Amino acid sequence: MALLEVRDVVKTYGGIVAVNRASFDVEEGSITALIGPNGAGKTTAFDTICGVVVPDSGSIRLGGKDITGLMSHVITKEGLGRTFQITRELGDMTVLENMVVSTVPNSLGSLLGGRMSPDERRKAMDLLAFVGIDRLAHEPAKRLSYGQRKLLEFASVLMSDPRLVLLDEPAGGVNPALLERIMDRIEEINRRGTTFLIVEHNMDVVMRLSHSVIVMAHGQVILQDTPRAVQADERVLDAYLGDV
Amino acid sequence: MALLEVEGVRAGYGSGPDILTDVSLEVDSGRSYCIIGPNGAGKSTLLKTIAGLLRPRGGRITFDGVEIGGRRPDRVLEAGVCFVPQDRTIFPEMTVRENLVMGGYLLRDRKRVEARIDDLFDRFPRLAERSSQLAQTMSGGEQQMLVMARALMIEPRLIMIDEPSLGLAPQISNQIFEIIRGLTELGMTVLLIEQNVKKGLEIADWAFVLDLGTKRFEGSANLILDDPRIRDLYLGKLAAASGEDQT
Repeated sequence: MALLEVRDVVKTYGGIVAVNRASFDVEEGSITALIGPNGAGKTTAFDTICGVVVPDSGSIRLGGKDITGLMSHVITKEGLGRTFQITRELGDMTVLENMVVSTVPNSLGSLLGGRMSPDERRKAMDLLAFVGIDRLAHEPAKRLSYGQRKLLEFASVLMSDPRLVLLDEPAGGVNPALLERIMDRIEEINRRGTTFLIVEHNMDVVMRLSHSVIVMAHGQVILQDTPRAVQADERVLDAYLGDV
Repeated sequence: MALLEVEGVRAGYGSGPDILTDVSLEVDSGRSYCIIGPNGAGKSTLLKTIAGLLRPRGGRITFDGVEIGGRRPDRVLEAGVCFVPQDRTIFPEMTVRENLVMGGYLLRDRKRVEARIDDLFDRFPRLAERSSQLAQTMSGGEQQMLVMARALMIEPRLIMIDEPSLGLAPQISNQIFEIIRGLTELGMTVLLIEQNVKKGLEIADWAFVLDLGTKRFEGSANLILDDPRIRDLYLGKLAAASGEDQT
């Protein structure tokens, strides 16, 4: 049984079918990439998995449990982590505080009360060190560079020990040196047993990191296979180049 | 001499990194060009930089022998370069005709503006039918026709069009492509970005392939997709150790 099973998911917006009977699996322990040209439905598929939007029909199971249509914080408790953009409000908080805010709801209360449990703090510092930004722990998050924010988002999603991590464009807009660090850290966390589902446009990253690649076009899954097979498949190139 | 010459141009947004790292290309008068390349290649950024919406951080852009790099957008327009961005910005609460009048503001001659509108209504009969309709009430395809017609008001020597088929149904896209093909047949110089690469190449003579902010190669539009480098660009290079061997 796959860790994540997406079955016949449909999501429409007005007359537009953003996701059209999409089915795919994410195997436990894998790094799986979700790719496809602009407008293929990748982000909508992502949003249905993490509970940001409710699919019109179809089902989503995480570890065998039906999570279709659940609230996103409930899905988080079921072991799914996703990155969040750092908003302006969170930008005024320190990097360390951001690490705790993004975890479980009851820690927000302890944070507002001015406390952070010693365990939470230690874990947060360990993760910040893991991504290489622990020296910035007490800086306001808004002072971070774009790339450092990406690292903070990645570290904070690991606070809740997710079984499955959804990453939306981890390589987007980061310089080559930082990209190398991000890829290295994803692989390291994956070796420790965490499963990843990644939406990414940088194909070199996709082909290097992933064990399995899901290709979407026009809202449908047209293929799920190894990077090598996907790279060689004419249907995939055609999806990117359009139809005449 | 080429009509448009882009030499070693670097550009980016705000204090962010360079999106264009080093772009050089030449556009000859009377030909049509399609810029292709994967997401993030810098295609739209290149057009914005030529149009004056972004100041180049380095390099030169010359149009008809005159340096236009870093000029204000209206000055670039005056030089004869017009840009149709992908967001289809119309004046929503103005009529179709009023939108066209706005497009002709540089002409500063009422008679010429009227003559241009008549000419464009001949070429875009759908717009003529909707002349007194508010622009915001039109379909996406009609709005795309309107932004293109508005750009043509000043009789540009170069028209740059970013993703004209974005969000349009296939049948409507085809109408838009036919209109662009009509422009090229009239001898207008066209520089196009199109998500449907095959469609874009069908109406172009020549293709520029952009990747990671630089022009990788170029070639005849009807042959470029046979180049094996295209597959690597769109689908990435496999790691030395393949995915299957990584565990």
